Amino acid sequence: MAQDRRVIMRTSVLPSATTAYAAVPGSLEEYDISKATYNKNTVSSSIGRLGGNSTLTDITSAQWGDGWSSFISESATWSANLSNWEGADDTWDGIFTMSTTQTQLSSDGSDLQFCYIKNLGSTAVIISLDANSTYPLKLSGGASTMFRGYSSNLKVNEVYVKTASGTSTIEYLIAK
Amino acid sequence: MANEKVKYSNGCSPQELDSTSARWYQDSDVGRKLTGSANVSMGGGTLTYQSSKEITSAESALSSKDFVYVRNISGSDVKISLDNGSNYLVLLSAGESFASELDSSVAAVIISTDGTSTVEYLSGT
Repeated sequence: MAQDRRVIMRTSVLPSATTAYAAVPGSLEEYDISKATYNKNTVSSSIGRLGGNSTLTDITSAQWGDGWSSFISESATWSANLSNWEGADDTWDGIFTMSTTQTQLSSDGSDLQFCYIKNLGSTAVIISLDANSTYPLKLSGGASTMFRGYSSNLKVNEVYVKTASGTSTIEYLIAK
Repeated sequence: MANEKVKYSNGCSPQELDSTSARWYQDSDVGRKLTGSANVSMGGGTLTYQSSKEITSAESALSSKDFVYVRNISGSDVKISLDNGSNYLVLLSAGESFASELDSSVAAVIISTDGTSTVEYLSGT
């Protein structure tokens, strides 16, 4: 069992917009340097970059099981993870494949302290926080989200994932 | 500005205290930092930003869809509802942020507080 555990979190948001730029005329002796009208994404001057600060949150030192992390560190020992390697439904490479059939990330009923999910595939993943009733959160390919549960309203076993269509893969942490 | 987009990233670094309680290391179950990012185009091409604002009760941060970002700048814990205020499931302590794309089924995102909080939020549709 770990002595203690915590997670450093960092979120960054960069709003941008497509700005149209006028054509640029001009030429040199040997070649044309003119530019046609073009569009470019620029940072929103009225908003700017948001977030970017790091914060700390505590999670329980003794997690509900090895499955709190979808993957296993290279430094973890084989014997310490027998339940992961032998389990029919457990993953061992950190990559979890899913489809349009809902998947519960954990059956543990503890209050959720922290959850991080990243979509490793290209098909959008949707996330339920109410045990497969509604799916309000979405992750495009490459995107990740993370959240902490409010009070006792969100339990570890209430987080489900699936795709709206097709298959995708995720990696995740789900901690009490 | 038009055709607005958002590039957002969420990253975390799980840490574990060594047995002598002397130093924090990367968690031995995880072994690395985690991060992901994506560019999201707003379906309607618009972003709405609320800069630093003090709240003492429930407030709608989004009445449409696509993307939401909320930061608890300071004060009491902030709670977020993704179902128009029926259930508050996500917690933000002071300094923490939440950013995610939203499924088209979300009708409204409501933020509220347990006391008095200063927040900023961005929503896109």
